[in-house]
Amino acid sequence: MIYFDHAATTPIAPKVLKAMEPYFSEKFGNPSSIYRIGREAKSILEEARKTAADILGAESPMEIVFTSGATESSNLGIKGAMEAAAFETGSRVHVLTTAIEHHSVLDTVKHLEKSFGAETTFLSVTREGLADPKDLSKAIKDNTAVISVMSGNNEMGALQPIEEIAQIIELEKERRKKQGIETPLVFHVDAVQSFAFKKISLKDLPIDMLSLTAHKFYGPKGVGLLYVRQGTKFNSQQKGGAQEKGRRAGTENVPYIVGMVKAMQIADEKRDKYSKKITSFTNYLVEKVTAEIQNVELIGPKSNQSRLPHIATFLFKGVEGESVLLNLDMLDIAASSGSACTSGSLEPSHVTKAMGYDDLSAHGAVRFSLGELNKKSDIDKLMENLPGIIDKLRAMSPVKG
Amino acid sequence: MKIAVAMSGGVDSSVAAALMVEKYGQDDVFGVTAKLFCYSKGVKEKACCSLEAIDDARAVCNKLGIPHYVINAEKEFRLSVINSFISAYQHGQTPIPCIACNTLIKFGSMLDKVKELGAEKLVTGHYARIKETNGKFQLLRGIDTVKDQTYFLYGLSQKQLSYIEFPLGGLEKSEVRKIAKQYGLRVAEKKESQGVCFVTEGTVADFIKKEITVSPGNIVNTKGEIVGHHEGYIFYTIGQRKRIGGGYREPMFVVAIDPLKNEIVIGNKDELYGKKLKYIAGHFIPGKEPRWPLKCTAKIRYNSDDVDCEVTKIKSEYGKHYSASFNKPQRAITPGQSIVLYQEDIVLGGGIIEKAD
Repeated sequence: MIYFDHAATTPIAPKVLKAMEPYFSEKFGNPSSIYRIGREAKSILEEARKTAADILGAESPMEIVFTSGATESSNLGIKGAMEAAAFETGSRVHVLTTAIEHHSVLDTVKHLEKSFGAETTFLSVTREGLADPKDLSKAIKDNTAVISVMSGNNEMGALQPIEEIAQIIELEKERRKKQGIETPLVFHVDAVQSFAFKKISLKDLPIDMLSLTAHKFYGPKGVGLLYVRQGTKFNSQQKGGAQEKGRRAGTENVPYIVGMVKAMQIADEKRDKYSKKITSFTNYLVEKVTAEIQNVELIGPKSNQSRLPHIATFLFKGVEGESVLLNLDMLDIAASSGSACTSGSLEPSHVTKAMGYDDLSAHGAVRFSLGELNKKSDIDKLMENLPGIIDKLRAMSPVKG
Repeated sequence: MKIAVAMSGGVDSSVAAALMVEKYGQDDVFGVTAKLFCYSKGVKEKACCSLEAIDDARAVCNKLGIPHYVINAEKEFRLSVINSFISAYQHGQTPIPCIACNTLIKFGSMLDKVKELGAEKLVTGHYARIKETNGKFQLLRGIDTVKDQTYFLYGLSQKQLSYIEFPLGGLEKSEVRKIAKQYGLRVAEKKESQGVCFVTEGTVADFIKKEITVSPGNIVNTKGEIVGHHEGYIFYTIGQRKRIGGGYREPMFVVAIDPLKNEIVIGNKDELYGKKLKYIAGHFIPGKEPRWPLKCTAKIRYNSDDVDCEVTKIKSEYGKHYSASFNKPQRAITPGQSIVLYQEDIVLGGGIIEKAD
């Protein structure tokens, strides 16, 4: 198999698997139990929390809430902060996000609008897939309680100007303080795709909440975290025990948390080297594709500075992305169309739509996301087949072009 | 050579796939299921719907060790099948969506799609046979005369037939079930699908009601006298006895539906029978028209027997209008149903009944 879908998921690194192993059958205690193996589990859990906090540049381990993945993290953070703000102010609150967020954010915001009566704004993006901080600044209202912006887009790799947005939000917080506006303002960032490539130091960057999931950087699936800056108010969503200081009920998934934190450590150590390697692979892929195939467009930001290193999404004009993917699958080459909709829904992606592409061209999108499993020769192998596939498909459906 | 098997998750297409794997080998066969409409109820709109039939097809492919792909044909299905189904009801007809689905979707957009995937043949579990002589293709009835599905396939062209293989055409249904059991396919005991596939809740009338406005009107006899009222003509089909009121001197039936006047016309048994009909959208499988008049047999609904018939072409500016006349009067000639023409086992073609004449 040749695997070009690292943005969907990655294999667990051997070191990570090894770190997890003792906590399944041997050191299996429940961190809430008072006896020895319970206490041991608790201490390993807190050690992991401390390590995660250090890697992220958090002030205190208390700021880390372990979850089942980024979908839960974003749900918990956004819903939790909106609820808390509505409760505190006793009035309708506003949530501001972009039109290109992952569905775990978009659908959470839509849900808040529907069942919670929240005001919502979905910021549009440029043709390159970038949100404009000026637009965001204008869209902030006195009752804006949550602003959620992803750091790197999963479908076409645009890196959003998080630092700039964070500054704008800081200024807004100061303005509110001066003018006595009571609505708290929380800045949430979905950093799922960017973590392995772009260091975020929360010491320097005023982000209030951050979502991560382990399986995008060689950790296990089903575990993630939500960073919550001290003093940020949010209501817990999952009720039950007092785990995670009452912020997320449910017995902690100790082996997976250990695995995630190990994966975070490795990613943090290897970040620069890894970024460099993947950037060179992706550049090579883009070069080959654009040189050897006619009428193809790399979507997203043009400058490498504004792109995630591992994602290259192409629009092959006049063909359906789905057909390209199935043809590649027949050669045991894995790629994706950007959003993982397995039952073959051809609903064009909300991301390409927001970037201003029409439905027809959006159907031609194919995403290649590179990572540890790739060698340079994988790209050569892909390119032995891809031009032929595109030619064949174009010859078969001339009308669609 | 790559072979695509269109799989519905039912026993027939599953056995067809098993037979193809036997014939061509695992490496050359793949399964494909078209997602035709959104099955989700109460789930969020346009979600990735999971469907039992797709899961069944996938499970069968797993068992057979071949890949399975889901392709999306929702848009095409809506345009070519559902919309014309609704429009036919609007015109007071009783349509058969399966015919358009076969001609335009299964052997239309789905065939195009599998060709894109490199397939040189599309295989389905239909009970029908194809015979090739010197590059010319004939469509023949399935050996199992009860299950024969050529009635739904008369719209196929020479080009389409050249890509199709029907492995079940030479088998009886009972044999197919036996083969399914031999292969250990869990769909072996699955029930036959019935009714209109995209009407997943309630009746066809309930479905149509959601799509078009239905208004009450009069029931009249063949002299044009008002004898009752109806709640909407879409609730009626030719030959129906229900919903027409009572107290008549003899058994009465719906003999015509007039959508323009919004009237249901009822008549007695004699008035329900006719010896002649007009049909439109005529298709001839050999690719060219026969000599007129054409003597053959015909089926005017799926479950009817063949009757002797003579067909001629009607001069019309709209083209493809034909007239068929029968030796014996036929019960309930129904606009929207198809007339399919045969000579012995060979399917000659057919068309859509416009009206009794």
